[in-house]
Amino acid sequence: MSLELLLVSVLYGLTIASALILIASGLSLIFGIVGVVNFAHGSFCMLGAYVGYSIAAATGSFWLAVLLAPPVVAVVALVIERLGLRPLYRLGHLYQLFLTFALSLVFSNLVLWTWGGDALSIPKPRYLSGFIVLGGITYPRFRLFVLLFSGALALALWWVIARTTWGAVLRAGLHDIELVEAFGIDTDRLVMTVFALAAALAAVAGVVVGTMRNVNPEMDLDLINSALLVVVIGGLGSFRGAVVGSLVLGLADSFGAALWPGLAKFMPWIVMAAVLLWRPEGLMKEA
Amino acid sequence: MTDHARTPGATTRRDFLRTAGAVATAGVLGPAVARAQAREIKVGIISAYSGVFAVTGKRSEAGIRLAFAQSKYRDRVKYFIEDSQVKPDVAVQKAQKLVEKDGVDVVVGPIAGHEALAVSEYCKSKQKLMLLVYGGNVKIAGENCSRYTFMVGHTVWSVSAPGSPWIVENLGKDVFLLGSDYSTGHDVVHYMELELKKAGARIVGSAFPPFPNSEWAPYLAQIKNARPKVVTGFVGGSDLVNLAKQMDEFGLKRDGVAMVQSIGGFSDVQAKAMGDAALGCYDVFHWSHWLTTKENQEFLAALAKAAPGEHADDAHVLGYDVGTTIVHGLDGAGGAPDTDRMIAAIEKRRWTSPRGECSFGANHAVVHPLYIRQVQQVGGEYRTVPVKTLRPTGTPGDASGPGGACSLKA
Repeated sequence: MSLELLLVSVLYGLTIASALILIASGLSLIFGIVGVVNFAHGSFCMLGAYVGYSIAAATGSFWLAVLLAPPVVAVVALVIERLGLRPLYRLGHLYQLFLTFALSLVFSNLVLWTWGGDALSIPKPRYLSGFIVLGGITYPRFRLFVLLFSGALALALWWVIARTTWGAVLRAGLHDIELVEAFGIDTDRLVMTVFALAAALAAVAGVVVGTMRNVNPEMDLDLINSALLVVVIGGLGSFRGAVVGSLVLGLADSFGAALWPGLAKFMPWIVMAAVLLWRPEGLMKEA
Repeated sequence: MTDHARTPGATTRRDFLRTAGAVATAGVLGPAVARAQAREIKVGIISAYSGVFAVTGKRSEAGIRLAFAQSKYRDRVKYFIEDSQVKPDVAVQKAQKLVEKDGVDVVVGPIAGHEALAVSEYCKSKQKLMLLVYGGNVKIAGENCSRYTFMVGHTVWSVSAPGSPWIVENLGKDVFLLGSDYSTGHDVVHYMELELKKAGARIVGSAFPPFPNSEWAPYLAQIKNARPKVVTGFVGGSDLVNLAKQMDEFGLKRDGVAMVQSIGGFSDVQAKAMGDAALGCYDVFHWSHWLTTKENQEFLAALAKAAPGEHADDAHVLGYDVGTTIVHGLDGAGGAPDTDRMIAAIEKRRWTSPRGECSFGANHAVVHPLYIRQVQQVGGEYRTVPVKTLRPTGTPGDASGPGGACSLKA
């Protein structure tokens, strides 16, 4: 393996990981707080990407897409939580999984209806286009931006969870939501905030990944697959797990493709199987 | 009616009788004749109407409808539309429904290679005429060829390998081959490698990334290491959008590495999704929106009228070619959907399609012109413009390779 291939693989792995953190942390928090595996989480990303595309197409601004798509998707998520999931909380996981899976099908067809099946592209700002040469290797500017931007957002999220009062309530909720309720805290609002936050983060990731790659009606499956792998590897219901899982998956992905191209598709699954055998509850347990 | 009284100066009464008789005869026989001619022509279309390929299904159907609307069968044609979901088992079920329940006269087959092969085998067993819009599986032109199947669109071979000599002559001898890891990717790379080597190319590397694959960074690093002048082969679906963007972003374009995709791919729509990254990229295909021929211009104008606001793309054209081929078969069969007579007529068909001069090989695979196209920016718009016309080429039926040989007794 040449030094260039090694460096590109590391950078690329980190870039993918940083975007995955935004998706997987939301998925993990939703599971932690209400025990729902939200299969429609990939749809939140895709919806964010498409809404972002429309905003960017109308205004010509990438930044407006990044800013405005998340609130739109957050509202959609809140409606789903209120009207769809709420009545199902008392039933088993299976019911919620069915509902969110059905919703993901509805969303992918809605997207096909509204935007069509052709791949679309969100234009990036001039200063983020092209590439830079870093110590002999060429790396796209936009990918560096994704790495730094998503990394900064993930840090901010960590700070909120670890250092603020709301974060303390959230952590307590992840641990035992009934106990939190017993202390007189409005858990309804907590749940809604988590849903809105998770959907907004997914939408940001959707816009960013959609710009890096392209926007297409199959991107939801791709992203939910990766996010599910991440939370299984890292541990469901934990923010740290999402971070560690994303890093493991991102690097496994990039080194897998570089070293054993024939196995590239299986690499993440091999890693997941190995982790499950070693630590069935995932690498991290605490929030 | 006999006429006994044929004498000069016949009265107007006799004339009247004759006329009346003729009218009466026509009155009795006319509707029967008209009924025979006006027998419905049932066209069954199996295509993708859900999922990402739904656009392709709708566009090719629009092309078929346009061809019939321009023909004398416009009032007699009846369509039976089925969605195959791009799954071979579903496609065969739908074919059974169309043939056995609806009693269609002609089947227009599904778009993906594996489902096309499955439906072609079924139609062979039912002796039902079938035409393919896409579904360029080389086996249908080879060992699984069928008297009842016509590949109107192309074969995987016909829109890849024949472009190879041009690539070597014009872009460079050091070639890196890239194929999505499924049958089409492998078939294209197989055929192109043969032709490229014949033309004097050096294959400096090859890779078969999984499909779908949205991330190319690891492969691009490999490609850079191999130092090719050209990257070519076949990358499926929207993967190509990502590949072109990332080749640009990782600096391969700056290094002067050319990109040539076979089987089209850089359509105007795809090029738009790739933006500036697509500029200068080539592909090998049998049609371009920007062909200036009379036939193409007429086609574009007619389609613009039939489907306002829609940007004509290859699915429209191939649908149109399928439609005109069915119409040609009907003409040859005297206006009745007689399978054997239609096959005989279609086998001999030579026509100027919006694509150019077309005909069918002995294996019923189309022989079409081929263009090297390049993405260029014209007035703020990304266009896939033909830069070189290659002579109409043969069909892969007799070539050695994944398709095998066709032994069709015409």
